[in-house]
Amino acid sequence: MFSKFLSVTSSLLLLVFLVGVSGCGNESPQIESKITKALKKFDTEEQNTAHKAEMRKYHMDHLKHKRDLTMYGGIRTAEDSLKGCIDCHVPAPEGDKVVRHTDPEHFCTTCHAYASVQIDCFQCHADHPDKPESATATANNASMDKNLGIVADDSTSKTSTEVTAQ
Amino acid sequence: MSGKNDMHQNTDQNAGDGGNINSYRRQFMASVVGISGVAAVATIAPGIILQQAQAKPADETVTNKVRWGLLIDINKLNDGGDACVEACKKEHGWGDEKLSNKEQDAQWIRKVKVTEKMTGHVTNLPVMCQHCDTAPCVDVCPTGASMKRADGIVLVNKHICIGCRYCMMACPYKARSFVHETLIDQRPHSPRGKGVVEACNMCVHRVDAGQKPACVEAAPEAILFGDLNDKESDISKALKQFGGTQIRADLGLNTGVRYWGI
Ligand code: SF4
Ligand code: SF4
Repeated sequence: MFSKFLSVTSSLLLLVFLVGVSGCGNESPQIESKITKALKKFDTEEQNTAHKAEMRKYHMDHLKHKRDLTMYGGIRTAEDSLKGCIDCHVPAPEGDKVVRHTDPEHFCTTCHAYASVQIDCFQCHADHPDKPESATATANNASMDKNLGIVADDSTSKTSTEVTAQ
Repeated sequence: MSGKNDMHQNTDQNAGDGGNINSYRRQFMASVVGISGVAAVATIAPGIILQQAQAKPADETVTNKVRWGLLIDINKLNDGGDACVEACKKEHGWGDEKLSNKEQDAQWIRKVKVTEKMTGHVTNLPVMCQHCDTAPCVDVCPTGASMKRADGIVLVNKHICIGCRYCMMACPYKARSFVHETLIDQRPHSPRGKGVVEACNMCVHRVDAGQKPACVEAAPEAILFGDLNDKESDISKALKQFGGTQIRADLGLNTGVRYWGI
């Protein structure tokens, strides 16, 4: 009985999951074009492709794994840091313009709205970077990013230009 | 090191006055002077020893070799701790709850005024989570969300907190708050949200990065932060020499936050 329930649930989950992934994959240029561009870019195209492929399917697993490492072990590396994702994928507030997860152009919301999957992270976690003047840990992130092969893309981001200067 | 000299002068001026407070001050300053001497040597000789004692590599798990603690000399807090409260609010973004009433407002750290009935003597002290060794809030939590990290920092794992508020009932220091309203624009390093309990987390994100808690930076002359397990740390030496008071020591919770001057 229970195993039947399990298999039904998992196939349902798989279905939702596939819809979600294809929704944000290359098959769906409408969505792809709506997704906000990341602020930083990888050194090589291979790294970029690998990052996209991995994160589209498994970002939630990465985040949940890292969440426990951070809570219990105090491990705060750049790898799989939710704050790191946000710093790169959501623009910092500029004047009155703040992009929040309730806005359709928010990086996470674009896909999650399409796939009808609710995001709970931002009930507590910041859904956008701090205002530039109060961002104190940015320099730290920049040095950690180097280890991950991420470099600041000067052409698209004012914030990351500051980061490289520091 | 001009601060050091100033402190010497103060100590001398106060020396003749007698009285409890002055003797506390004298002890504290003497220890600070002594310690800053040691610190200077340690910094000059092997380079970055002091830094290393504080920071752990970002990818290393915390261990129980360390136990973080605070020592607060309330006689040196001229404002009774207002600056600490402000610094904490700014660091973690609490205290700006629009819809909550006075009873519901978040309070990670607050100023407590104690009046001795007979003499009318008033003492102000900042009280935050005392980071108890045997923490009642951890004992009672039904989900394991209220937890003590290996290095003695007591935290709420908000991912699994169900908001039952049992820990708020259990805490003898009224250190915990419950968030009653939807929040936006949290500080990126300090997630907080509706429906879960929160409290002073000893600025765990700063401690992990080798920095001092925000309230300590706001009152560096009055608060020592350090490793209680390390016999050579400033805080351990000061406590060994002059002791330190636990609030409600009778409860036997072996708190990580100790006071001078209460
Ligand atoms: S002071 Fe209260 S919240 Fe902090 S550890 Fe002790 S019981 Fe828990
Ligand atoms: S240690 Fe940090 S969280 Fe705790 S009272 Fe001080 S500033 Fe607030």
